[in-house]
Amino acid sequence: MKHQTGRRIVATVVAGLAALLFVAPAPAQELTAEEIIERMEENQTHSTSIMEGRMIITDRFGERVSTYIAHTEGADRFLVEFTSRDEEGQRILRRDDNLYLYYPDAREVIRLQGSALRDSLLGSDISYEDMTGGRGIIDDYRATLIGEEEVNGRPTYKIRLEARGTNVAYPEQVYYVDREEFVVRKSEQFARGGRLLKETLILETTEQDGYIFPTHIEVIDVTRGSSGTEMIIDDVQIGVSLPANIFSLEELTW
Amino acid sequence: MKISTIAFRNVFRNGRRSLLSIIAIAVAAFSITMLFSVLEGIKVDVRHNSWNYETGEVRLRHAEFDRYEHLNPVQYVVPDYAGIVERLQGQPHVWRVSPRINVPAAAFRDDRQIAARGIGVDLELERGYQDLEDIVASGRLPEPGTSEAILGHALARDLGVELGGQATFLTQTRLRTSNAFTVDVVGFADFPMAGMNRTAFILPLESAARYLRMGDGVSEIFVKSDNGDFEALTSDVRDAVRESGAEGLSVTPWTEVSGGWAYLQMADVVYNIMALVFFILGSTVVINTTMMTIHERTREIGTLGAMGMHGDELVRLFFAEAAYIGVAGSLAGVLLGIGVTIPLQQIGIDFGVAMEMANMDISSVLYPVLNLRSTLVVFVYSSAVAMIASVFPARRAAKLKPVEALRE
Repeated sequence: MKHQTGRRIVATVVAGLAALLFVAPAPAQELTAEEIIERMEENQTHSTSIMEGRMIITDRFGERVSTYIAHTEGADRFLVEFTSRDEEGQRILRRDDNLYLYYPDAREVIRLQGSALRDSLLGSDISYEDMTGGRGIIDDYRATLIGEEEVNGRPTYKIRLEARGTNVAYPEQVYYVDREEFVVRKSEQFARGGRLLKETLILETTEQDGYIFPTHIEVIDVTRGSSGTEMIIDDVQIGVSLPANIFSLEELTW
Repeated sequence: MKISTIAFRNVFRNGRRSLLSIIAIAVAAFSITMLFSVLEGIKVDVRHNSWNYETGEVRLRHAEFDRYEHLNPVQYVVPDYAGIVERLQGQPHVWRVSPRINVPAAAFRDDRQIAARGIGVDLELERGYQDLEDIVASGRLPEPGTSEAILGHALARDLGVELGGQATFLTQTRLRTSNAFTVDVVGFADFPMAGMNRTAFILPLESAARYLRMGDGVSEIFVKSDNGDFEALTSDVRDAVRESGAEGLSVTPWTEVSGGWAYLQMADVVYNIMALVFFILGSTVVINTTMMTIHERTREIGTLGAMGMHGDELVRLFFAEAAYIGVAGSLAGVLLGIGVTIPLQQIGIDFGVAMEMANMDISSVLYPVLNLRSTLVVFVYSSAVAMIASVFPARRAAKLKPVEALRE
């Protein structure tokens, strides 16, 4: 199984943009980097959700908005359907580690693999590869607590993640994990050699049903020279019952 | 006896040496004739390919498309293309018009991403613009308004698509979002440029417009004149655009944007230098032959001088000998070049394997073109170089004193 877990912030958010996070009962004391990551991952794992949101993509040619409805189940399954006029009916299905694209004008479902995963989602700063993360950061990365920093006025643990192998998108990442809520407030992705590739900021969160939920996220792909992509969640339902087979290939083309 | 008659007879005094000189000149003249024929063929070919697939004779585009071409800016279109095409067709120098939609595309096979480029064409207008049937290697051209397409044969092979099969491509729309579409493969194309066979496919303009959400826009309009006067054509296209009221469009003759044209400008210079080198190499044989002749005939030169032949007459004698050899060699070389070029004009020279990976405007099968003017120039040049090459040793012979020469 291919692990691409280093990109889970974006993965969760785009995949229904569903990083539902438990509110931690109390600040942790003397936690190791591994323990912080594990608690963060526990918070991100939830049963099911349906959410509506929009993606605002800004590049040198201007700004455009895509809206979507996302259905998620656990950390590894989601179905995103775009509802904006320009992309109406287009769908992205993630099932386990596989990513499938459905377009109404195409008679075949496209399964993205290999280098194709590095392509941009709708011309945004998010790659398809960013959507393939799941649980298991510690399996793929060595985590080191390198300090504490304030991000948007919130105290965070600064954790460096170094890839154990080459089957990950980013050889190195730095996570800024909220000390109290165990939410990632910011993350940075680096190339081998230390060049910054991508930066993700959680600009707003909201609390619902006991979860802390990111509702406004900004992703900047530094290599594109763009102004970034914002993802805003407008509505979310947690723990809902999803239609049977919603994550199947048969349902994808309906 | 006339000097020319003596010179003519002298040519045969050492037949082998004269033959060697004639062959040297002939090889040079043949090589240059062939080189110029191939160059002329490349010129015709680059122009043909550029006009049909790259730039048109004159190209009409959105000005911003040129600026951001490397980013596939599909959103920059020629709006209301049908109206502009109609206006263009009313212009005096406009002969043919071809509106097109460029479709940036990618197909996926296993974990491979295969880059492709669709060309959406108005099949009716395109049939007038170029001999479209000529590219059909098997199957047929797509029907207008359908989801059919004809794929470059190497692209079809990469995709593993059979005739009658289908292929799905991911693309980018005018709205800067992505879309994917499936085409029914009704034919395999053999484009003149080998590089296109690996990437290109042709589909109906209406279908490309639908997949790319182009509305009434196209990526570009190619225009051809009936006489190759691209300056008058450019002016006509500008007039049509002005009359249409469309703004932000760029009208560019092919000479300004074709990579092939720039290559030809450079090639012209390089090939002329190569021709000069060939001539110089050929002329060294003539110089050598003349010098050896003079050395062997020193006593004879002394006798001629003692009998009253003047120095300038001696120069004319050797010059005339070289002229006979030069003309014979040049004539033989040029005739041989013509003889080889004529069948090659039909058969062509197949660079298929060599050009497979090259991304150039030059066809994989090249047809040399015999240009009478340049062939005549080759004949005159190679004869003249042979004659000029004889002047220096002949003048040296003329300076010999008869008494000293007779002692040799």
